[in-house]
Amino acid sequence: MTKTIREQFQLEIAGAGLPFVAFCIALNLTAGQLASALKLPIYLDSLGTVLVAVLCGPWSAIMAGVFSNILGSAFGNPVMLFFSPVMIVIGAFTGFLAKRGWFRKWYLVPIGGVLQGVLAAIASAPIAAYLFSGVMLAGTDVLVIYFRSVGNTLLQSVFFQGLSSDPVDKTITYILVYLLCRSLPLRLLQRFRGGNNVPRNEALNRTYAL
Amino acid sequence: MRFDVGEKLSATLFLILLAIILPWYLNAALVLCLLIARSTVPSIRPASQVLRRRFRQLSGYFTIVVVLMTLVNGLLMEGGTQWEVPGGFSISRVGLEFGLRTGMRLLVIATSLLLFFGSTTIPRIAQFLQSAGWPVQLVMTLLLTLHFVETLPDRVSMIFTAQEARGAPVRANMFARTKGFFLILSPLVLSAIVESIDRSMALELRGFHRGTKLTFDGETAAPGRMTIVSLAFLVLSFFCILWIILQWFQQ
Repeated sequence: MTKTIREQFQLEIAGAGLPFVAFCIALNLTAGQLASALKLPIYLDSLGTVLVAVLCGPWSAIMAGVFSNILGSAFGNPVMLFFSPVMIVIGAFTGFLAKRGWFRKWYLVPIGGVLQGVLAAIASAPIAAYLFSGVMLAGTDVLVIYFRSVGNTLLQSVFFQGLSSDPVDKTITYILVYLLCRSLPLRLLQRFRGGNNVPRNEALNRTYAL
Repeated sequence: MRFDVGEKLSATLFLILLAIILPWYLNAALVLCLLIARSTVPSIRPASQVLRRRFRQLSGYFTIVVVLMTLVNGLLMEGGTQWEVPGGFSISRVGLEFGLRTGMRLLVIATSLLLFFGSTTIPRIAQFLQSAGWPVQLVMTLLLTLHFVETLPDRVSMIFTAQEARGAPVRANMFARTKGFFLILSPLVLSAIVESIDRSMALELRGFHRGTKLTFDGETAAPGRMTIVSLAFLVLSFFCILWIILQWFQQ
């Protein structure tokens, strides 16, 4: 029997799901700061969304992504609000891949990350081009201006800028989430609806067995 | 003049849409009007000293970025009249106009959002959403997120120091630092899951999953109502959207 979106969402956030989604929203907002503290040239602004998509499901991931962008714009970057559709794409696509077992096989994880990066670039390009004319008050604006100065249209320039950074960022995010889920013991994974989406670490489970 | 959260929200939506329609010089005038309104209308004054300081810092930052972006666009783009500047560079009129149009639009959007979030605390927004009939789970998620946002930096710093003390490579080359990132992230997520389980039990004991609505400070949440001001802003926003769609078709 098919369930309504509301029913599916409620199943995803049942039990530990709801507080974990809240943590992942906060993680989305602070992972970038952590990366810059370690002087790593990556954003990781969708780390929490991907984690929720794998461990809980697509609907709660969409909610986590949209809330991250709303709160992100409240805490200092107003532009983030308009990129909520990109987070919807990330949450839905990652949830779809996780349900089909892409996070159970290590070799599928980077492929999924690259695909996600390309999708994110496609989703964000029209918003950045038509709403903000390519200016998003970030360091990557210089890349957009460079691509425009060599003769590309605005939409092409914004898309190329996204394509130069998003696949790398999303692949790293996917690999990090895979490693994180792999390091979780079974008794914690069982608390989440998507606990079966990730590989079992038998050695770890023997150590933490009840 | 007092505005409630719904009225401020609809006014913000209208201002964002207006920024897309107006030419750059009217957007510049609108920014000035918003800044004057910030110090004269009590409802949109920053809710605390911290928010006041943050508003000042962010609006200063955005103004600098907009000026820089306008200049860079003028320097790199070609077309229209070219003005010579010292150092052998030339600034194009088309690039400058493009930069001004985009920059002023962004400044209006940033200022209106900063005014809204600066004068309205997140718990007040959550209270408004609940009275407007939003599912209690969404409101609860928003409030729990605030708790995590507040505590996460301290936790990260604690784990960072602990991992550094036990010799984790947090200051070595980039590959080692990426590994160090995982060494910080892993205990952070693990501790968050344990805390989530504790919190979910507390919520369960309070009967949260029965779908009963929470109240704030013992008050019963009043049902949301649409005021004339909200309605007026929403109607104006609707006309703005129509105008934008018409412009797109004409292009």
